[in-house]
Amino acid sequence: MHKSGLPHDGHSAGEIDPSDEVTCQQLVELVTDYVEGALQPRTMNHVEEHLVVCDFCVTYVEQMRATIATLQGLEKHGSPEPPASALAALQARRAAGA
Amino acid sequence: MIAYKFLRAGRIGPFSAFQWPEPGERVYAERDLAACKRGVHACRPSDLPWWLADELWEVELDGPVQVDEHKIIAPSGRLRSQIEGWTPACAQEYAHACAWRAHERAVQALTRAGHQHGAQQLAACATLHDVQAVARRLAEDIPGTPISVRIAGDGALCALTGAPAASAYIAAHAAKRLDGTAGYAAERAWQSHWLVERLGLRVGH
Repeated sequence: MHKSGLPHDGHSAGEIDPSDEVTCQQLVELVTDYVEGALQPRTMNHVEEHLVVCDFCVTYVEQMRATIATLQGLEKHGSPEPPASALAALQARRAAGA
Repeated sequence: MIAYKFLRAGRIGPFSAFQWPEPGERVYAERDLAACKRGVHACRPSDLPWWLADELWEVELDGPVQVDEHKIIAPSGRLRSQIEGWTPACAQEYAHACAWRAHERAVQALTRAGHQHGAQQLAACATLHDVQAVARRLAEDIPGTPISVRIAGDGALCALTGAPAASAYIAAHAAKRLDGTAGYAAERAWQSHWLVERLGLRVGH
């Protein structure tokens, strides 16, 4: 397992350890950046290598993608306004000091 | 340049979800190459063990090829033909071969640690079910059992449950436990060689 923190970029080719990789725990920390394509190339590479061997993390990434897509859909359509009757009831309650 | 590419069933890129066109139809990178983001990503034979998926294709790459860790990237490429030998049965065979390699490493680890009796018991396993059971028992019975024994049990389980990439990964890590980074690299090289020989892949084109 990767012992020296998250994979990094900017090293010389001679420093590459072919067994360098991310763990499931690290993937959890990286998943949002991975889904958004914001990871550095080497880290992205290690995340994808991990996904080849770990079905659990594949499921996790798929769930995260679905969650992000749902949230983006909510932002697009806006939050539904409460019905006027509910607002009126709240205002009446507030006016009554409840 | 001739290279190889693993795809999901139906010629789908495993990470990009890109639907590859019919063999012969060329695809191009939209802009400059970027590892894991833009460009046609492919494998040299030595890269294959890291990227196993449902389908294996021979690809022809064009333009300057960028070499990255465990993959190569080109500005354009086309599928040539599917490697017909890479079937679920072949993947299973590969998984089993890798699991037996992990088993060998565990036997060596037990021997090195002075657990001769345990090493003999593990070495005597005739099936991967036996490896799984004996590895589990040894891990419980022998204090300080080398982690390689548990790894061998996991490798057997992965092979038996149809997870070739995980089985290969475990074999590589079993080798790393025993012989360090060089052992890991040697095991990955052995896995690549297995695929090249079994599937009749081209090397060095």
